[in-house]
Amino acid sequence: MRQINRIAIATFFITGFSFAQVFAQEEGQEEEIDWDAYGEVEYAGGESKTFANAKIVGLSPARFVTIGYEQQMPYTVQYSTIQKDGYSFDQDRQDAIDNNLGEEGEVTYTGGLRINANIPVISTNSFIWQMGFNYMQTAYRFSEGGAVEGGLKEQLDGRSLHTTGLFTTLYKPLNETNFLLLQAQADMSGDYTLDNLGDQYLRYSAAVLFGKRPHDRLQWAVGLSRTYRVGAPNYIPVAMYNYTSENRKWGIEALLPARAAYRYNINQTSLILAGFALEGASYRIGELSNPTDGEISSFEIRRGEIKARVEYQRQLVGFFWWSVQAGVRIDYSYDADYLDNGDETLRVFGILGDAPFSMRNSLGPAPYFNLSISFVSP
Amino acid sequence: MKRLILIFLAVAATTYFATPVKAQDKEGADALIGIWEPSHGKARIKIDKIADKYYGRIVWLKEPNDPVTGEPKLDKNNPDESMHSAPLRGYRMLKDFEYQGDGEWSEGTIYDPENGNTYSSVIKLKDENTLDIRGYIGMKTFGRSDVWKRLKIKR
Repeated sequence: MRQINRIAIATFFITGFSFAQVFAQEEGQEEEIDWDAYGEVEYAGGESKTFANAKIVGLSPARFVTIGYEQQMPYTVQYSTIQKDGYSFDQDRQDAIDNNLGEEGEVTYTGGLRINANIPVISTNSFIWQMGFNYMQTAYRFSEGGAVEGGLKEQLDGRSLHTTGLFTTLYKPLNETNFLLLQAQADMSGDYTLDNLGDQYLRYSAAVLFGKRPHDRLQWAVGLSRTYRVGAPNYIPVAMYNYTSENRKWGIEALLPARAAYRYNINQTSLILAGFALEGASYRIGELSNPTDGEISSFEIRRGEIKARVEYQRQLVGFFWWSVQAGVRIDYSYDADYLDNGDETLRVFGILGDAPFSMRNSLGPAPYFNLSISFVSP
Repeated sequence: MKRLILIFLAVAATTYFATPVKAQDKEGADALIGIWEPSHGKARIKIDKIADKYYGRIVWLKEPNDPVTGEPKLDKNNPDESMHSAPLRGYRMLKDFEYQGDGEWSEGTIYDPENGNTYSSVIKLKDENTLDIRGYIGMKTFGRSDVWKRLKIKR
């Protein structure tokens, strides 16, 4: 028994001493830190290399996954008759409609689901590669009457236009301040269903930008893009500008001409954005494409719209945020082109071409709202 | 002699069960200890071991003072308002890392004072003076990696 007691006492003192050492070390750190010593250091091995961060402080959270719903309030439409290459580029849109009115009426419902995913494949301080998926549904319902057989209203009423796309984004910092940004996207837009999905609906867009990040509160970039954002394909210059004020309460988030917003950071978990966005796509309407001669021709609605909007974003829980957006949708383009054999028409505001339209259309302005939940990286 | 052997065995057993990391891994586990600089070069982090876990605190800031107030930077972005008056220098931004073997520490968290968020984190030793440190949300896919370099105090 005495033996066991001695063993127990010895064990207690030895292990007790070990634990005491650990806590003494910790307590010692609390009391004896010489902060100045950490200002005079050298690299033990290789030097660290600083690269421009992809973000600046204060930005609205980057969204990994977003699920949302958007709806426009009722609005009026006027569609011209469909005439292959029947409306010259120079003719005023409203004159063309007034002189060739095919259908008019009220759209009582325009809306649908929005899904967006942006997944990092590689994400390091020296290179970022993200792959993304987006889906946008726009379903239409019209007030009764006024539809013409074989007209656009008949094609849209009670049906949906879809955009399904894949995109990839590359961010490559060149040094502490300069960076390159590349984005490529393939979208299928039109009135397709899973049964008739095909590459005749496929459209490509891309952008390349060179930028600078002078400090943690500012980044800007300029470049060139091929985009369907105003409906028809365009090659246009693009400019990015992100800024946060010194007190971090407000800022600017802009990727022109796609969107720009003034940001007010209420606190770390909520913010308000006020600005505009330019959204659009080229939608192939299968029934009006008339591929009777065996060619894959396309009747394409060139939808482009400006959204003047205010958005409130707030943390729901953890890294999940919700947002509500409200504003006015203003028609920029809902005209249509007929593409022989699918060959794309390039006008670029008349600089590269003046191909005639096959349909001129006008949509009245409409209030709209968007509700979404996102999984974010703050 | 028997007593000495018994005492030795008792101490050895106690020490073995009190230490989850095997003795042969101990040296590798402690390779994390030291002063490290993230790639942005705006801070220096000292990593220490406390009771078999690893913790890192900010020991140096390139800009120690808030540009608006001129006072030492505080942890004003922390979601816990009681921390808003805590100085950033000295703040323990790496917590609870456990050595998993093969130059990897996980089960820890990393705090970003720029936005007040705490991320899950895993650290890998690329070489004796280089760390690959990844902060992520939920799955490692939703994260970002940074390269930290080891520093030593000039004598």
